[in-house]
Amino acid sequence: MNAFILSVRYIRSRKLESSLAIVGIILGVATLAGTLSLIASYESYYDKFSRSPSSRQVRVMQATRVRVTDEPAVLIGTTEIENVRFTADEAKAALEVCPDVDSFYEAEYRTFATTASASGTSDFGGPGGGPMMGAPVAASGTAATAATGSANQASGGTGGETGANAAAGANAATGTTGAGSPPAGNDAPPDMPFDGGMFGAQAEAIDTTLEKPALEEIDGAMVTGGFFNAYSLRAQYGDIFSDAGGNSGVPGVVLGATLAQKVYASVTNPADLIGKKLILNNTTYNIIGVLANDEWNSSGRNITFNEMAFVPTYAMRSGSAARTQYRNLTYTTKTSGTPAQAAIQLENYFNSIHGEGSVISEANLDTFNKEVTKRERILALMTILASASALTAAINLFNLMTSRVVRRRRPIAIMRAIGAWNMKVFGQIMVEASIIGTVGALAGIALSPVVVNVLGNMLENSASNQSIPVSVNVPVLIAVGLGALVISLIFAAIPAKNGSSLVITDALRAE
Amino acid sequence: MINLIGINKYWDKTLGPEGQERVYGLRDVNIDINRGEFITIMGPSGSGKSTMLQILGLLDLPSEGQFLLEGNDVMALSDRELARVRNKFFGFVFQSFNLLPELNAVENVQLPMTYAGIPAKQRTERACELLEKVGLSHRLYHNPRAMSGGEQQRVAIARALANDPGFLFADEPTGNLPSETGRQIMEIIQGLNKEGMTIIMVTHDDNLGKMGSRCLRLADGKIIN
Repeated sequence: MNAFILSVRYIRSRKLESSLAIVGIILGVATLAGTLSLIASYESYYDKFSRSPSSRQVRVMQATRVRVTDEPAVLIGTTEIENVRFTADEAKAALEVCPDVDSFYEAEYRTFATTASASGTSDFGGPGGGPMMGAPVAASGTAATAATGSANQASGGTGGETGANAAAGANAATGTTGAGSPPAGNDAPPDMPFDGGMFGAQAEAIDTTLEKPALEEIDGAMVTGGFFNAYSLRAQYGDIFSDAGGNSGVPGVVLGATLAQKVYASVTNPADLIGKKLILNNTTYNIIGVLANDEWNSSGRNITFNEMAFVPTYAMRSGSAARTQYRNLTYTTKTSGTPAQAAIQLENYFNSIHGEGSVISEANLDTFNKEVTKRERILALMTILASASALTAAINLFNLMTSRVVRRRRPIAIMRAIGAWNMKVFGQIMVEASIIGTVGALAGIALSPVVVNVLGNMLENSASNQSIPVSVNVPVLIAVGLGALVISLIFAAIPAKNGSSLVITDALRAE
Repeated sequence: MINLIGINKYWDKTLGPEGQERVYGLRDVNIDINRGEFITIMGPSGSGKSTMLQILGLLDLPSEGQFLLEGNDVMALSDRELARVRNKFFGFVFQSFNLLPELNAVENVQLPMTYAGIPAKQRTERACELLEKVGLSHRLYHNPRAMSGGEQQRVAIARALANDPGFLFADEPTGNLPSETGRQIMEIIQGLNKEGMTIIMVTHDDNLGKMGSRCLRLADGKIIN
């Protein structure tokens, strides 16, 4: 009859009080392990972020500044927000003026529709736009009409953007080849020549072999060429685009590694995508590159770059001015520089051009740090509460073991009478406490991922700016579990000591 | 052989501001117990019978005097050494049986052997043997709660014999039993004595007192015969 079996029998003989003690430990361990795991998760993510390309970046954007007129009588309601646009020249000049930065890019994240719609979009413009008089409608006849409402709208359209949009929609929706039957109910004859003038390049881009993408929407970004360098993104297949070269012709799109595998159901090899066309927000793009997997898992708008498509900023902005002006800029610091210093330099520089207080700059690292700190403050409070809960569980175990020892004075005295020395009795009681502690700690650890998920979701849902991925930190769980076991044993040691050192005759006398 | 020389057992009781009072359990006890004896200890309530048995069984140590076991002074032994002496050389049978209710008969009998470090297989064999000897081969795996008083006391005797001790200490072993059952228990104890075991038994019952080879009568902590 070893100590373990005897302890199990003792625990079973007092099921309710044993269960309550175990539940207390489970709750304490699960909450504590969960909160500490979350903190570790944020710390670990912060550590990773601080080494990632994002951490060296400083964003420059217009400050939301209110300009007030001088006339007191019309003070109210006479405010306006200034719009700041950065020119390419001043963006480049910043590289000379600010010693800690060495490159810049612009990125604007958005969701692209892969199927065209009849309604015009604000993004539409650039080489993809223009009055494409019905030419692409040749792609599809009845199939296009039947496939989408947008094709019908196109048929009634008067050319221009609408026609182009509808054509894209028809192509995307039907996946038909150019050998369609003559259009029914479509004003544009299939052989109608397109305007081959200044839009010749675009017209050529409308490929009648376009396949419908498997995804209706793709998250992506309009970026300048510097974006790829700033994030150390390189092409696995094809190439990335750069700022060099003209802003004309069919714009190129670069796909993230994961997106490339699922953008077309029929194309499993990303290499085969190069040269294919992809319509995003009614603009046709030439797939020029597929990125290698981004080991940093950098993300924009909570989607990793691996899942995103990148198009040049000029391709989605109409008007030559818009193409040479930036709404926001992101600079990358030199390895020797710090993001915080660079942010000050950039802010001073752009404010000197656009007016004091008109531009603000934020180092990604600082922004991220603020986000992490915000969460960690909440979690620190949670940790205190969880520690209190764990301590309560330990005190509960202390009380449980004390009451058991008091109730078991006589059996302990008998054990000692027939040959158990006091350390043997001490060990017996400690084994009992450690079984309760271990079961509680293990079940608490098993429950802690639930706490991590629930608490993590609550924190991330309430986070104002940036969502940080949370994960279960196994070493933390193990440490908390072991800690709980050690604390259980420490709190059980006093009743065990009292029990093992009782006077045999006193205990035997007490009937 | 046990030799008690000038044994006193007392407790100092605090009586508030007036000071302390010394309460004696045993006074100047001198006794030699030889191997194979059947000693009965008798006396009125509070005379020190149980204290005497506890001191003899090393469940408690005397306050003063010398305790020799086989010529060795046991007063200086550590807790662990005393536990070992109780485990290897002494067996105990109590009035209220004192079995562990969480363990079945075999497990209760095994317990002293566990403390002696005997391997599990041997323990089980020996426990079954002993239970058979006390007539409980049909109740090996029964819980004490499911047993009659007589059966429980027989399990307690089997447990006392687990490590084949030289001395059996019995404190009113038939006190909680019907007379017929008590008689059966006494037959077992007498049988053990005949096999050479030294028996030291506390009893109120004059008839049982006469069963021993020697009867020690106590009054106020002193041996009066």
